[in-house]
Amino acid sequence: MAMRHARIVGAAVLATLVSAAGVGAQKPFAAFELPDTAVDVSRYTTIEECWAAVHRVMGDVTAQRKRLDADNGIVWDTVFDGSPDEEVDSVVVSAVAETARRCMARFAEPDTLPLDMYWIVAPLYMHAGWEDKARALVERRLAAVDPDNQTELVAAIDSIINLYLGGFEHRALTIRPPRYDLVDEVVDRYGGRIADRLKRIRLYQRLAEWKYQDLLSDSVTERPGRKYMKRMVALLGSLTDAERQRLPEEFNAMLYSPEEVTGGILTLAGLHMGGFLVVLDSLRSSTAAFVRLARESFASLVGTAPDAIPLPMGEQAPTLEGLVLCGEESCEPRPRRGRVSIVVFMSPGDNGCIKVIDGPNRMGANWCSLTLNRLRQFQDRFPELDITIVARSHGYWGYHKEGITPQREAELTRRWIDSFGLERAALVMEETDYWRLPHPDERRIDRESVNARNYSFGGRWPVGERMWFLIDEDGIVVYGEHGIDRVNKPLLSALIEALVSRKGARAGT
Amino acid sequence: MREIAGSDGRILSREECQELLRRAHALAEGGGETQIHVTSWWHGELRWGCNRVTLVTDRRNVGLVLARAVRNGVYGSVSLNQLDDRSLEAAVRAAEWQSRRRVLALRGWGYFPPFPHYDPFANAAIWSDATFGATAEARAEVARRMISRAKTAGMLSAGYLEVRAATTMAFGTEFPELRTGEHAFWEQPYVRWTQAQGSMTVRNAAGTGSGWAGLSSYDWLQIERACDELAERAVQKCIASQDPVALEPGRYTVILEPQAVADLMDVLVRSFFRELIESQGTASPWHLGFDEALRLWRTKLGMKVVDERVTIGHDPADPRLGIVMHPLEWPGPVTWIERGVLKSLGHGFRYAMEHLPGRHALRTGEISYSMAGGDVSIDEMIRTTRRGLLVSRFWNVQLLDGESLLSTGYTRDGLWLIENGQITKAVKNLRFTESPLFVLNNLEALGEAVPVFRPTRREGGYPTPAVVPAIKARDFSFTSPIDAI
Repeated sequence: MAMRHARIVGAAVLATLVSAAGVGAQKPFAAFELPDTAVDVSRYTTIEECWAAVHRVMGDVTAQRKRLDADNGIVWDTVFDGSPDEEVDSVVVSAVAETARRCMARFAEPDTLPLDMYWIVAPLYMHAGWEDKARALVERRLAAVDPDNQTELVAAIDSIINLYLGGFEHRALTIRPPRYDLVDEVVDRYGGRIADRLKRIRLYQRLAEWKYQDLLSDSVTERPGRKYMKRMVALLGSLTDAERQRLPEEFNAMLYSPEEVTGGILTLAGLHMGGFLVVLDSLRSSTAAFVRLARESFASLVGTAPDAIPLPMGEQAPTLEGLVLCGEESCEPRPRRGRVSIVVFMSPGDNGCIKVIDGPNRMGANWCSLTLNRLRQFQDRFPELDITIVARSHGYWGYHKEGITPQREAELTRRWIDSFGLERAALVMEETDYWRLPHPDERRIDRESVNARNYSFGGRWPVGERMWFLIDEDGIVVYGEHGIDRVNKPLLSALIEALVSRKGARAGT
Repeated sequence: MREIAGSDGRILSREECQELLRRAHALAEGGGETQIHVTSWWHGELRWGCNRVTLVTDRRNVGLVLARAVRNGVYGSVSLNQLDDRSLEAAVRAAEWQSRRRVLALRGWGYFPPFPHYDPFANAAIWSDATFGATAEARAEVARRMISRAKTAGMLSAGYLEVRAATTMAFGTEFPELRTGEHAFWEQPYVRWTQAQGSMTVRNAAGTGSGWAGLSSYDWLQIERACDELAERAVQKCIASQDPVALEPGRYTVILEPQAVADLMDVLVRSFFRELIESQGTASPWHLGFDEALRLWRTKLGMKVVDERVTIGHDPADPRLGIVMHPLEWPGPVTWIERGVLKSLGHGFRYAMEHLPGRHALRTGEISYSMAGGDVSIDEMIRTTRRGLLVSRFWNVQLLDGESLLSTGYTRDGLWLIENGQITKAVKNLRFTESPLFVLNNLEALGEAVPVFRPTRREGGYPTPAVVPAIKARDFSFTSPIDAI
């Protein structure tokens, strides 16, 4: 639960921040091609055939989308200023809509179609651009629910929400973009009929999270998200003891107490409703205020002690041990006092960074190159920012092993970092102490990294590959997370900006 | 297409392989990279049954796996065996179509140093001009001599003679700026090899006895020289195995002739190649389980696993053990078991780089091995056996349990009962259920290690030679009678 909270905290901050970031201009992606739609689908005679035809057209597009997904390790955000999704979506809409329209022409009367087909037909109508027909069909389905059958009502609403949001049950015919307005329409009209209040809370929570996810690209949806959060909080506050005891089961969190589950929900709710904006503002005043407010907010929401916040905040950052390289020259220890710093743990030998390749297919972008590209973006945007890559020796580098030394590993790593345009970043290479299993096994067993141990601050959080720490000019850890990804990059950017502007203001005064 | 000297176009030369890559890459559209894996093979066969030749063939084929990655695309590949321009262009287009279906932004992978250049072991004994030059007439002459011996003995024989030559090469156009040699280290340099095999089964007219003998080698001359001896052995085994008696299954002391040892040890040798160090939790005889303290999977490396007289390994310089070498695989000699102690386990190149001293890879692939022998003759083994069974060979050996290597199969072409130091009668075949590890822990004697019949089954397959001794072991488990002769 603690880790979940940690993620929520970081992501919620992001949610409140991204709305101001905007979406950059799109660039065409040359390798994208339309699937072949030459088949005359208007001759298809069944709804299933139409479903298959639309599915087929979407298939290639979906496959391409997956390949473009940054979570799959592709550095598309160094290729595009924004997300390629919109470009892909536009192709999906045109190709798929044409197929759906031609094929569904003979099934264009929603009042005459069997209701058990609505979950196939409604998405086909949506893809064809026949929104009114889809709504009519959905309305027919909901009207057909037995008023005394709560299970059926909950299931029907759930299915329809999935349908409008392009949820996983309908992934084959995913509706893009998600239709929050239609979801709101259904929930506003039928959600109140769900007698089980826990199921309503679950519904609202789910919707809030959906909206919250989509905040990444559309700030307008934030308001409806808040609406559901408010409804959820109101319901939570009015639960009876018996209902409260059922919370863990309803939220599939049986290992946690009702209070912990409530805390988790409220954390999300509280942060989502704008609480962290205040916390972030405090950072512009001082790190201590930021940390104190964050801890107190967390503690009040979750019901734990302020020190229990599962995020690296407020600690004095230890000086990193090892060879420090700035360019090809050694330089002063990091992090430096008087500088805003980001320290990223990332060794070329660790999984996900430079690997031992045994074929050309392994010579591709990976999480580490993705992280370095994002750091380069920070370097370009914040020239005052100190960036430090913390690595450790492994006894090999890429596919080079003979004669390798920690010094040589540092040199190669330095060149690797530079190749991403991070010439101003410092590299700290810690020589790893290790031993080997007795002959003939002889496997290398690395001892714990001193830097990783120091930055775990007594083992309070694991310092693994791509863990980063943002450190203020006084050497205090402001914040840290694992990996710089699409979700937390805006958060990190906002934090850096606050620190840099604060430092500038102080210098000015 | 040019031919290599003396090849009659039966197999591709290095230049022809390179030319294929050049032509394929020239046909490429959309930029990107091209890979090809090209193989070629020629088989000359002669098969006979009931003392009459039934089949003489000369076959050949080429195989081309052509892969294209258009810019920003993943690899798409097409297999073909037509090398004309039209076919090649169609294949290139098809591979590119596949490549475009899935986009991969190959950007931002950053600095890499130049590729290291690893030379494969180049002196393995895998090519024989005699094999490549063995004509249908030469094969027929050997068959005539072997059939003649069976006829003279009044027996029926069936047999198979085969000569093969093959080539392979895998290479591509990726990362020219990082290459330091002709090939990137993951590519297969051009290599050619030959194989020859001869085997003969002899039955009596009543169908109550069966004898077999066989030999495989890269060198046809080995088969040619041994053909009379092979025929004689098959005939004698057939005579000696006539009218077998049924014997109760159970545990017996066994004397396994070298061919039977090779048939049984196959599952053991294959178990070394499963990349066991890094394959976590796989059922294996060499695993000890997960070490919570060290956070790794422990193995039995360094532990005594079989009788101390057992040593199993491979040396590419051994002329009896030549196999096709790859830069990343089989880079040199390996000892799997030395004096009963497990010394090596298979692993991938990446694993070796990341965890082991040095740089080497022992990966799953074609298997060649030698097992150290002793100085006890089979006759001596028989003389010192109070009651036991002499086994010619095993057939249809199947692994039942990967952890214990428990296997099952049955005897074939000669099984005899030994009583008080003498062979007393032929015995009907028996099914066994036994582990080679158990056998190697119940050793009584080892004979001289000799090459055995171990040809590859696959067309164009790599050589898989083995050199093994006869073994005498106690308590070998036979579990049921088999009616087949």
